[in-house]
Amino acid sequence: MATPSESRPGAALVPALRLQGLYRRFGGVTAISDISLEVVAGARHGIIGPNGAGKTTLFNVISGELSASDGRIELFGRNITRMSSVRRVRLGLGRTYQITRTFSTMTVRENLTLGVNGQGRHKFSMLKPWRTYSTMSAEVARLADEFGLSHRLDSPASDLSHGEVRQLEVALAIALKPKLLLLDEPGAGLSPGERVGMRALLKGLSPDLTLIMIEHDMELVRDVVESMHVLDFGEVVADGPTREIQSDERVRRIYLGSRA
Amino acid sequence: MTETRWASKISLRALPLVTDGLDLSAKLQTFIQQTMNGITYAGLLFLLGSGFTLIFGLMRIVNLAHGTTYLVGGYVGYVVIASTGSFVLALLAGGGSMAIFGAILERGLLRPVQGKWISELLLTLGVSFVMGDLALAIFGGNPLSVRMPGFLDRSSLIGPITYPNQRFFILAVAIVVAVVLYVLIGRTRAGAMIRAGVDDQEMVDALGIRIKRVFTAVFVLGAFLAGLAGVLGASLLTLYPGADSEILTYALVVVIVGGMGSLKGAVVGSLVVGLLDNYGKAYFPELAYFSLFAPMVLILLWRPQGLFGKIAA
Amino acid sequence: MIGGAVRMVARHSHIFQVVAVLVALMVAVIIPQLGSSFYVSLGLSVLIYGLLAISLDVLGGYTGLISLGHASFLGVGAYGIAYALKIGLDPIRAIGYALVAVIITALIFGLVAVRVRELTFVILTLAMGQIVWGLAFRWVSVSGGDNGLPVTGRPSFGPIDLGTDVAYYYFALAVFVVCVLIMWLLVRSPFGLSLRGIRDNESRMRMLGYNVVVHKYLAFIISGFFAGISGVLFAFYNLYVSPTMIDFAHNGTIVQMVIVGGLGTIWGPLVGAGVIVFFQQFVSISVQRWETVLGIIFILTVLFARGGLWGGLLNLMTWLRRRYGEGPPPSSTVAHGLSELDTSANVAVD
Repeated sequence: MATPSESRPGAALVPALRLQGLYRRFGGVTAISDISLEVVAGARHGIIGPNGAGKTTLFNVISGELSASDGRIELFGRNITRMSSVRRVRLGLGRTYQITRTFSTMTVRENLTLGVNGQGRHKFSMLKPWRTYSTMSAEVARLADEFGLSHRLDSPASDLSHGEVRQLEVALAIALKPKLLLLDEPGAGLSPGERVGMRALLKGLSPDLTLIMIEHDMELVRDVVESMHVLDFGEVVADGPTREIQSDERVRRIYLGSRA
Repeated sequence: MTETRWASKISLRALPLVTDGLDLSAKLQTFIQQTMNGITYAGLLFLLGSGFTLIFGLMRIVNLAHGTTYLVGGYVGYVVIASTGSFVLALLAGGGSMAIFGAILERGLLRPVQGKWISELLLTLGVSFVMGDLALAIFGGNPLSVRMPGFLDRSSLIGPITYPNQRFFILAVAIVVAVVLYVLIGRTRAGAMIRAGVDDQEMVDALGIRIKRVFTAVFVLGAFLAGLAGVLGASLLTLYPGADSEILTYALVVVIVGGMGSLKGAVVGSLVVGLLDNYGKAYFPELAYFSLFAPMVLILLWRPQGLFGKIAA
Repeated sequence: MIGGAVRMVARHSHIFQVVAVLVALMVAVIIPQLGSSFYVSLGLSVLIYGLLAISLDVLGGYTGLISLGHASFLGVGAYGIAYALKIGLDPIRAIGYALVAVIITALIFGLVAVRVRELTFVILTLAMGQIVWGLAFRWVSVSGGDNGLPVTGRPSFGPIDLGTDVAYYYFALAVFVVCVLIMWLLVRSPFGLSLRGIRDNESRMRMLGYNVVVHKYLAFIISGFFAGISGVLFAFYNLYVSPTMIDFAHNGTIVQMVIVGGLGTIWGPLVGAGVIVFFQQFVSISVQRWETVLGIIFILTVLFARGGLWGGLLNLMTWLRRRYGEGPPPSSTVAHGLSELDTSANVAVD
């Protein structure tokens, strides 16, 4: 299947994400330093590295939850370095969190409705009960089906198993129909069986969607990700196609030298 | 004859200048007086604000019972003076009784909900209701005040101004407390733990059991200072039902302006609030509270963590 | 016998709320017919403070922003009426005048209030409440200071004269029903859902594309507006306004009503208002320290009964449902009350 970047002339030249010389400092500590990379539209890209390497900080800077100390971020060609998170989301950025951030006091249905509404027109509708909006409900049902949560729609999110919470986490981000999705350790804490499910879920995501994934689980990475960057101490130390990185001696040393 | 007419003309012309000069010196006197009032009031506010900011900085507890602690401590001091005549005893009793109360409150009521800041806040609100009502029952609704002993009750002549000694005394107490707190927080191990806790709550959690004793100690210290301030406030102002919420508001503004968890902020905040409040009351009596609100809002908009705070509002 | 009755309640627990509301409405309509003016004024107190408490619940229970200064909106509304009448406006125009003043106050206070974290919000609203009280106290030329202001008349709509307390009661009841209906619809709307999302996890809402500050601002203004209406009702009922009605104690009392009644349930605060008015008027006769008792009830509610009275009742219904196998309830009948705020992922500081 042709990726959209191939079918539109000129579009292939605009990367989904470009980082130039990105820095983030906290007081005296430099969490990420001089990060430059490009991710092509439709790519399946990975960011790996030992704990503390700055991967989640990098995601936080890309998403706008942390401001960049220095450098430039471009999303589909637009300079988003100084934009608020909300504006970045409107431009097609989505993300999930390593420590899940679902709405724990609300049901799965309410969670997904919030996700669906995020880019919807009805956010400020004040007089009709939200359950009566049929397009919203249909979309929620569809999402729940796609993510295997249909049977849990009326359960409070706090009642879900860890695997189901992780599925909800991804579903929330997908509900927005993002163009670039940042996945922060989608496999964290999952049992082997749940990991299989997550792998299938990730592989089943639309090829139009650009994915950047932080992950420790090499199985998950190997199957889903085509190329990756390796971070250590806040810097890029290696990048390339998955197979190359996995056989790279330096990368193995980094992982063996520190606890992964 | 011409000379006398000249003299009277000159003296007539000069008269307005002399009276203007007198006027100016009166206005200047008022200004100096208000400034000194502001600074000494700031002393009282610091006693309240310092405890409040430490309790918040370390434990993230907004102690809405702090004002009522001030009031009840003051009432206790009043009773002690009325029965023993000793001002020193009253100060100790006012502070001490509230310290004991603070210990009971922190360990008994606030521990079970530790970490849930809304519940902690609401609990202190409830405690202020109960304390306030019981105080009304015991001490009645009439304003009570206290006189300081001996030379403190008199005034001194500073340049052209006569100024009450009791205000100097309150400022002196505040300065002593500030120095003691600075040494305590800056130079002792417990102080280091407090500073660490204010900076990083997670580190506090990691330190485990020991930190809980520091929590109680800080809370008790705050309550002691509030009770002490109450006795001082009984002489400077008066004690009456409602004085607790009034002074609580001031303490809150002090801490917001100065920054939560910062002692330096409590000093600066107290000065800002004390001075602005007095100037406001003197020069714009009808809009006095605005002089309090405006700087607080400006600070929140410009620097949400207050002047010296590290925790963003 | 009892088992059968309980089972029947369980089976119909989902309409428990509807039934309760209808019963309450019937009681409210019947009260003036009982002939005692005492009960009429009691009912009016419950309606006015109930409206104020419900408006606070929209902000506090649903959006997670607990205001310790909400009575200030009642103050602006009430003083607005008194002042408008003083400068010669007729009662109907006075209502417009007062409501505009309330909206302007909400617009100004809200600008700062919604940009700060929830903890600072609580403190800030406390200070704001004190400022309005302080103004009422000191701005003597406008507010009459300590002496307050009289309210010189009630509005009349064509042939309907509200001069008698009974007539005014029905007017207030009608206003109350309309206002609460609007707020009830609001919390069930997509906007209301967004507010609950903000309460639960503000940062996630931002990453889902919601402009959180705008939502909070709207919630603040709407909540303040309905609180202002309670002030209008109050002024025309009491025919007198003074600073004591908006002091810190009253601000605290409104919060008490919401918590004891049930945070985040819309009807809970009304129950809370009823309880506290009951204490003020009945318990105070035999128990001198009724305020202490109320304070202790408040403390116990915060510690042990997080959903308040109404929330507790709703949860009981849910438990009965589960116990008698009726299946899971629609989420709107599960009341967590304070627990919802405590489990919120919005860390208070840092």
